[in-house]
Amino acid sequence: MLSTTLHRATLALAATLVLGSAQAATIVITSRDPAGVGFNDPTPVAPVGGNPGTTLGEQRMNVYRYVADLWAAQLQSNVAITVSAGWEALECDAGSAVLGSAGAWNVWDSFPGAPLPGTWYPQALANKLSGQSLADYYGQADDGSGFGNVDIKTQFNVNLGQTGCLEGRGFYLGLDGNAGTQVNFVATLLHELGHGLGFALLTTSSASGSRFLGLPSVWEGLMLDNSTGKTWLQMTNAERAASAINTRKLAWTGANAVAGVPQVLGQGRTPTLNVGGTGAGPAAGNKVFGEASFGPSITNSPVSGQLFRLVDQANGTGLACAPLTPAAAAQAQGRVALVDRGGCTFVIKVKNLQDAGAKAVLVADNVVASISGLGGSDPSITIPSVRILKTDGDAIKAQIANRKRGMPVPQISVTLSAPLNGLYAGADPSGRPLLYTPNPREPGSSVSHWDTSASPNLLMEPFISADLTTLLAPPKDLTLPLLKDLGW
Amino acid sequence: MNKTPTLPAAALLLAVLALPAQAADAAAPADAPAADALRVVVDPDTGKLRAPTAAEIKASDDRAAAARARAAANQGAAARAATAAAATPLVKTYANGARRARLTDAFHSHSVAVVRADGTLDTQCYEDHQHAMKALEAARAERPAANAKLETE
Repeated sequence: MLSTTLHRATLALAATLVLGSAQAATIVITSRDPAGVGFNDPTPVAPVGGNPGTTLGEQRMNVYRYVADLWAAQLQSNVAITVSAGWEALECDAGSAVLGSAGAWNVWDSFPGAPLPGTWYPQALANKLSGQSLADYYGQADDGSGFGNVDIKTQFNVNLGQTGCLEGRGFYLGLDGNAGTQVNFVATLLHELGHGLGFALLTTSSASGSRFLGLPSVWEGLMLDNSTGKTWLQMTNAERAASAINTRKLAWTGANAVAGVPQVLGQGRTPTLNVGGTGAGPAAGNKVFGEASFGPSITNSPVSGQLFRLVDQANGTGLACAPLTPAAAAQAQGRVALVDRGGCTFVIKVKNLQDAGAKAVLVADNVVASISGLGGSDPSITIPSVRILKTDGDAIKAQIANRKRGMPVPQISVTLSAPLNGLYAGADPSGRPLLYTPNPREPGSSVSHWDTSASPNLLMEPFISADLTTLLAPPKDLTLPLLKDLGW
Repeated sequence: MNKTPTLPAAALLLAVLALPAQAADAAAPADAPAADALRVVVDPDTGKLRAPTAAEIKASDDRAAAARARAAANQGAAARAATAAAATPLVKTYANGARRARLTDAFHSHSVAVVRADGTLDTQCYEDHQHAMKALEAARAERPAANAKLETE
């Protein structure tokens, strides 16, 4: 009996210790701001969106506290996570601005309790895994800055929204997500703190593939290029750089994130352009195309209809650079228009055809080149439009020109649709979530984000979307599962 | 008339002489007129000049301090950027083989916002300071980074 009691007591103690080591995290925010600035700005403000602060500084700190608490509620660590925060005059002008930046300020390798030796970990995670503050354990003194030993350093633009710095587009400090035309600070800070906690390649360059001091980051073993079958851990610098632009081939293999995919991501769809009809002849079939950066996406606005080819130039081309004549507009009404590239911008063409009543537009390239999209911007465009290859455009035109004397115009139909492709939107064929690997490499693009094909949108995509929530875990998001894959 | 100053009243505080602020009497009630003969306020109710309350003086001093600090911060931005660019990580190795590196801002991800031609705001996260600056340059050249690779005609 005594033995049993002792055993139970031992189990209870062990349970206490386990619980103690798995306690909810605490996040400590320390301001670097001088008097009167940033968190100390005394400018009176009205409470907004659930933020009760009555000065600008109070509201800023309230958002920090709110976001930090969201993270703290999801993470376990018996070591306080420390964040140094400041409001500074970051680069900006009337039309663009650096909103802020954040990241791990200290990283550790081969620390006591490290699961993977010879691997860089962000300090907040290293502390959690080690069960102690490593800076304290090693007696690491501050460097005089006051924030030398913090886990995460952040800074946001103190001038945002003021004259000359995205005037009128300041940070929305409400907690309800109703940012309108302003910058949602909750979402922005939630995203950036995610990077600081470990949602980042950290110390390895995705541009060159090179590693800081030759050591991999904790991410690399979980990044699998599914076209080569190699993880980043197994690659050379050149292979990593190539993998970073191997579009939609770089998957995250962590078990938690993979398990979350079916709960979080929707069914994937593949936008498709099909040409058919009794008159299509050899022009029939699925065609490659590039979507427009304006107007609705095909996924959201599938459309089908009879083809109408515009001819408004003496040389037999159709440019649609001017409003259509009444006769041409009558033919375009309710149909999918085929026009040629050239003479004016894509948005002008599509807008003229929309005004004429067309339900979609195919722009045939005027040069033989690889497929690309249609650039431009016009929020008044409400019909889908795509670019097709010159060779495909020529084939369709040839069928139309092949009209037999006395016979009706060949009927050619066009369907723009997005059928289910059997994949999850934002995952590879094996159901693993994809990392962001655009090709050509966009300036500053980074594999430290989920791919933009993810649907619904995820917090850690490179673009901060208006429809994000503050939920970090399934069924809404994959951020927390990825962090758990790292050891959180 | 004793009246707790409203926000508009605070905004109307005028400093008639640009002298260092006098410390308000901490023991005085917040709404009591302060012995600050160098400043007056326009009373929002009467429209007449009167001596500011201690609370109004404090609010004015706080705003002035904020403005000075903002100006100093602006002047220091370029210097900080240069410092950040020049900074290098500090690495320390400990006796048992553990290593710690104190990184720099260059390793940090940066969020950038750009107003597009149609007035909408694009917000994108870049992997470091250098690429954030390139995104700003692209925006200034009216080439939104998100669409830089797409032809428009």
